[in-house]
Amino acid sequence: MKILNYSKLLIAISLLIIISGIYIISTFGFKTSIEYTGGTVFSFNSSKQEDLISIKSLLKELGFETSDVSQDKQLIKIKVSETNPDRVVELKDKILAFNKDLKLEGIETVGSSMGIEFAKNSFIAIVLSLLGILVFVTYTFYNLPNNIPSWQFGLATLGAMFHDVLIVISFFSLMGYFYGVEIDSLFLTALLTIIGFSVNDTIVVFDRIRENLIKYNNKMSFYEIANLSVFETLNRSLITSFTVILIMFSLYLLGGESIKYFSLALVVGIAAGTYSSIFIATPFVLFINNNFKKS
Amino acid sequence: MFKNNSSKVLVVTILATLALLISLPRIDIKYETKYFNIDSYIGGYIINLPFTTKFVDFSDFKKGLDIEGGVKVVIRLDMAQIRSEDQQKSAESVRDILNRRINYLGVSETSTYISRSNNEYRIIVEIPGQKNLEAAIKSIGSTAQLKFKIVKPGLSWPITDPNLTINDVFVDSTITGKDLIGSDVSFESTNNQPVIQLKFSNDGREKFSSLVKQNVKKPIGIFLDDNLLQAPIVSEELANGLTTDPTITGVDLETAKNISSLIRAGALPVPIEIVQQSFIGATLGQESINKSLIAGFIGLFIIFIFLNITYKNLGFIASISLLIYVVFVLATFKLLNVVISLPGIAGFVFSIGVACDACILIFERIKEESRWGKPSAIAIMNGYDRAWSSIKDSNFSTLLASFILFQFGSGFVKGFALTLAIGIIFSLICCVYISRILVSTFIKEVKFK
Repeated sequence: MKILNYSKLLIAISLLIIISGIYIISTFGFKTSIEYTGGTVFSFNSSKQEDLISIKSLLKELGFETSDVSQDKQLIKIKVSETNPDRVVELKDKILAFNKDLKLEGIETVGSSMGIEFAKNSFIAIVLSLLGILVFVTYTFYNLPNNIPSWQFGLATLGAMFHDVLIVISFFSLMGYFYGVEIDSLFLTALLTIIGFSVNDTIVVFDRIRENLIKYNNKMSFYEIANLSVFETLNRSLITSFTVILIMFSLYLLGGESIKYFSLALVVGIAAGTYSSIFIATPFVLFINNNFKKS
Repeated sequence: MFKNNSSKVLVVTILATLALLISLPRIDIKYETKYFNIDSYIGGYIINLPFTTKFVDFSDFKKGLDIEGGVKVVIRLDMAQIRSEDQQKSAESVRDILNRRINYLGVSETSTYISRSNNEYRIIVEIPGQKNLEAAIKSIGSTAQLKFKIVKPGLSWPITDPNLTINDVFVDSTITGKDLIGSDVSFESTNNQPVIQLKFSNDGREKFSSLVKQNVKKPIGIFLDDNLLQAPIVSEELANGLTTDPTITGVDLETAKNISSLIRAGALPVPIEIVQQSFIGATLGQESINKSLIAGFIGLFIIFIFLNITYKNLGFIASISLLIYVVFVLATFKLLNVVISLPGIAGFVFSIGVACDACILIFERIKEESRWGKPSAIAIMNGYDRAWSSIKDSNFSTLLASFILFQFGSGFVKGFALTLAIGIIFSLICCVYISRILVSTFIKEVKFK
């Protein structure tokens, strides 16, 4: 099985995925949580289907033009932009007086200055981990036989990671548009975990390429060695992601409400990571390697 | 250290049993028969350390606020007026004052800590079990009461009765913090000693003037939040009332600075602002953690079945290694007092997946080696040796990501990063080292489909 014979097709598919991902993100945007925008979320419990429109119009009367009221089973969430502690408490009392069925479960307020900091820290964390991994892969695969520069592996890893992150982000852009799923600090956590774990997959393939380069030095072309390595590690890649996806999926289906979408992000990200480590990272290395030789 | 495998297996068994005993919650065992009664328990031990009064408590995990429920408030300190070398000290004194205020709420276990990020000081207050957000915010966010009190009419000064407390001696006067405009440290022109200067509003100054006239040679108590700051004694020179701004003498520079800054800000040495507050109901969190734990165990069970089918006898060893892994990690959480939050549990569950990965890498390698015609014993040895390079490199990248998460994340994210990192380290120990001991002891021949 020569997976890499289809390199051009695979790279074309990846490009298609990336372009449609960027299109999705720019069209649908994100729903950001109060951690990024500042505001307050009230959580209430109620055993029956509540009249959300009347709650929304109450909030409008109280001067909150834009509010977000949703119900998921017994959990009712109300999101407003208010951050003043006293007025938040006041608002809570008014909502509870307005609808007697509601039982307060939680309140969370984040000031808008904190939101800006969250966004900044998220950005720094993602950029740092991408750079860190580029440096790490380049360093780890230093000293490859045949004078193959290790930065090519680093760059390919970065490409595969970019692909995974983009898929997860665009997936959540769609989820936000259709189901109101928000981007919060847990999502960022999932993203960084995916970055870490997707590299994990790619490194296993690259590690095998290194081993085979030493083993079959001068007996096989780089292309053949890459192909063999992807094939040899295929089983492991599939079984590993199967187990991780299995356990995260059971967490998504059966686990607590607050980590539901976190688990979903990991499921999507790990699936993307497995795909990219097999079908993107290695073709990408070959692609760079070929073009670099010619020039 | 241990030459033969059976002694290694023994050590692993002892360690795993210890870890299991530490990680278990208390389970009561009651069993009655005609011949004997058992009334005991295992797990959840509280052990007194010999020769000390200290004890180690393994009765429960330390639960985060998102599980236990409670109130969390994040306060930003406005340090604009404070010199940079004094900022840490100011932050500490705000923390102490807040601690005192929260204690009035009558809660048992609060944690207040200072966090610094982007050159901004914040104080994070966590009150587990607190159900009343309003009360918490009120006691934290309000500017405290500054009061000027006088010695109770009828009592002679100095006080001779040692049984009288401060509250018995002082009574409110008409003057409060509202009458005060500010306070400063200055130096006396005669002897260059530091003094605390009080600046009153016009109205306040008149009131204060008449107060000192009536209290010559008696102290005036300055109280903040009902705590006595200073009780300067009115000097004889003020018998005719104020001519200049009143000053408090006889204090050293440090005290003068502290007191005047406390008086200035009403209560706190720096202005504060609540930037984040949350109230979490206990039921929501407890429900979530139970669900997530059950989900984790179901996932783990399916993985066991899967590993046993795919890798036959090796899969069985992998399942045991994973179980050892789970008790080791749980015991570590208890030993290090790791705060368990929901993302933390997610990190732990995810790390089970990472641990599986290490096993799978090794077993796939063994499979390949035996396919290449190596006998079982050599295939096993090569499998462990050669898979190590991939395992090491690939896990390092996940560790790197968790380190960055720990650096840049906020509370919950930090919890996830920490549990993930602990998980990765133990997955290496269990799946690479312990599983090797078990495999080389119990597996004579590898079987694959």
